[in-house]
Amino acid sequence: MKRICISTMALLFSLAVWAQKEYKMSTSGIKKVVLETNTTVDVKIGSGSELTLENGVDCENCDEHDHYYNDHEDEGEDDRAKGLTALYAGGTDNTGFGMSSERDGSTLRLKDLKPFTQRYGFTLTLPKGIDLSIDCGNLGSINVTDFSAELEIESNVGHVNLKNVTGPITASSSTGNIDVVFTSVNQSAPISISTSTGAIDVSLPANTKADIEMKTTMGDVYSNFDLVPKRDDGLEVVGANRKIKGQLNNGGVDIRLVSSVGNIYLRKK
Amino acid sequence: MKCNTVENKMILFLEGELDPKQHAEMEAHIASCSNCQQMLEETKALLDAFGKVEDEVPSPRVKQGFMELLEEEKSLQQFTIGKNNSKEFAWKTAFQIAASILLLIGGYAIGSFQKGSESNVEIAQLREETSQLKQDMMLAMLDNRSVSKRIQAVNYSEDIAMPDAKVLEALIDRLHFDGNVNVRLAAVEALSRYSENEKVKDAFIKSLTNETNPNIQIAVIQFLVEVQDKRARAPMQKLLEHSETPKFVKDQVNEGLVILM
Repeated sequence: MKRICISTMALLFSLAVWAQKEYKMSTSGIKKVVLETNTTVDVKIGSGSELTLENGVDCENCDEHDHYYNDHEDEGEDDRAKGLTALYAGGTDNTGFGMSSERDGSTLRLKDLKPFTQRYGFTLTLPKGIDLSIDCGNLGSINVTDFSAELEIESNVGHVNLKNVTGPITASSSTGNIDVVFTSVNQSAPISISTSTGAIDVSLPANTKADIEMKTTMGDVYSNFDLVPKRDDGLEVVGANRKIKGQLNNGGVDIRLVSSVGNIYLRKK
Repeated sequence: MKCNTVENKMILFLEGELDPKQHAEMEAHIASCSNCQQMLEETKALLDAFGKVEDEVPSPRVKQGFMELLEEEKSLQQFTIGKNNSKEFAWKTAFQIAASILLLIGGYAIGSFQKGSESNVEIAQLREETSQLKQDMMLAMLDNRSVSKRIQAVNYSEDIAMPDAKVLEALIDRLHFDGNVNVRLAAVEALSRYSENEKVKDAFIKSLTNETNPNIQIAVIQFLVEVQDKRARAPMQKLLEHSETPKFVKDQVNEGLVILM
C-alpha cells in the first residue's frame, strides 16, 4: 500500500514537473520561426494562435533511436539549484524551457541552450501560416505534419520526415533520410532537397505541375512518373551518371533532388 | 420515222447536212407522206426566199461621212498632243515613269528601313531593360531571407543570356558564403554554365578548399575535371589527406585526379 502511495506521489510529482516543461507564447506579428536544436523535434499545427514548446515527441513516425528519448524518464528538478538560475554559454534562457528566444523584426529565433544529453525530444506547435526554419544539429531528427508554409530544414544524421506538406521546401541532410509526402505543390518558389548518403523519398500528387531534376552520383533514381521521354529508335536509357530532367504535366515549379550516395525515389500518389 | 422528227430535221435535210442513212430515211418518209411533201415544198420556198434577200450595203455617203469625221478627229489630235507621238518623247516619258517608280520604291525602302531600324533599336532597348530588370530583381532576391527565394534567384540567372560581372560575383558570393547547402548547390549548378570564365574557375578552386558538404565537393570536382583545370590537383590532394572527407568523395577525387594527370 505504501509503495503504491509513493509511486502515485512520484507520478503526480513528475506530471507536475512535466507540466512545467512547457512554454507558450503569442505569435502576433511573427511570420517566421527559426529554431536551432540538437534533439528530435515534432512540428504540429495547432488550432490556436500560440506557439507551444512541449517536452516529449509523439512517436508515431520516429526512428528507433528516437524512442530512446521517449523511454527516458524525467529526472525532475535539482533541489540544489533552488534559488539559482541556469547559466548557458550559448545565451540566456528567457523561456524557462532551456531555450533563448529573440525577436528580430517578424522573425522569432529560438535557440536550444541545453546539450543534447539533457534533451529527450520536444514538440513544437505553431499556428497555421508561419514559416519555419530548423537546424537539427548533429543528432536531431525532425517530423513535420500538415504544414503549408515555407519550410527550411537542415539535419546531420537525423531523419527528416515531412507529411502532408505543400512547399516551398528546402531540406538537406548528411546521412539522414528525407521523406516528403506532398498534398499539393506550391508553385511560388522552388523545392530543393539534398542529402549526401541518405535516401530521398518524395511522393507527389499525380497532377503536380513541375520541372523535375534528379541527380545522384552513386545511387539510383526510381520513379513511376514518365520523366525520360521514349527515344524514337526504341532504345532505352540503361544508366548514366547524369541528371535526370523532366516535366510533369507540362512543367511548373522547380523541384531538385540531389544525392551523392543515397537513392532517390519519386512516387506518384 | 415520225412526221414530228421529219419536221425538225427538214432544214438540215434540205441543206444536205444529214448523214446518208438519215437522209435516205427522210427521203423514204417524204415519198410516202403527203403532209410531209407539202411541208417540204413550203420549207423549200421559204429557204429560196431567204436566199433572194440581198445583203444590206451601207451607202457610199455613209463611208464618205465617216472618213470626213476621221480626218477631222486626226487633225484635232495632232494639234493637241501631236508632239507626243514622236519617238524621242516616248523615251523621256518612259524615263520619267521609271524615275518616279524608282523614287517611290526607294522612298518606301528607305522609310521602312529607317522605321525597321528604329523599332529594332526600341526592341533591343526593351530587351536590355527587361534583362537589366531581371538582373536587379535577381540580385535583390539573392539577399532574401527565405532559402527557397534565394534558390529561385539563383535559378533566374539561367534566364539571363549574358550576365555581367555583377551577377557572376553575386553568384560566386552565394557559392562561398551562403549558409544553406541547397543554395550553394544551386549556385554551383548555375556557375557551371560559364566554364570558360576564369573568375568562375578561380571561385570553384577556392570553394574546393573551403567547402565541407560532400554534394558540393563532388559537383565542384566534376566541374573542374571537366574543364581540365590542373590547378585543382592541389586542393584535391588535400581532400584525400583530410580524415573528415567521406570515402565517396575521395573516390570522386581519385577518379578526377586520374583524368587531370
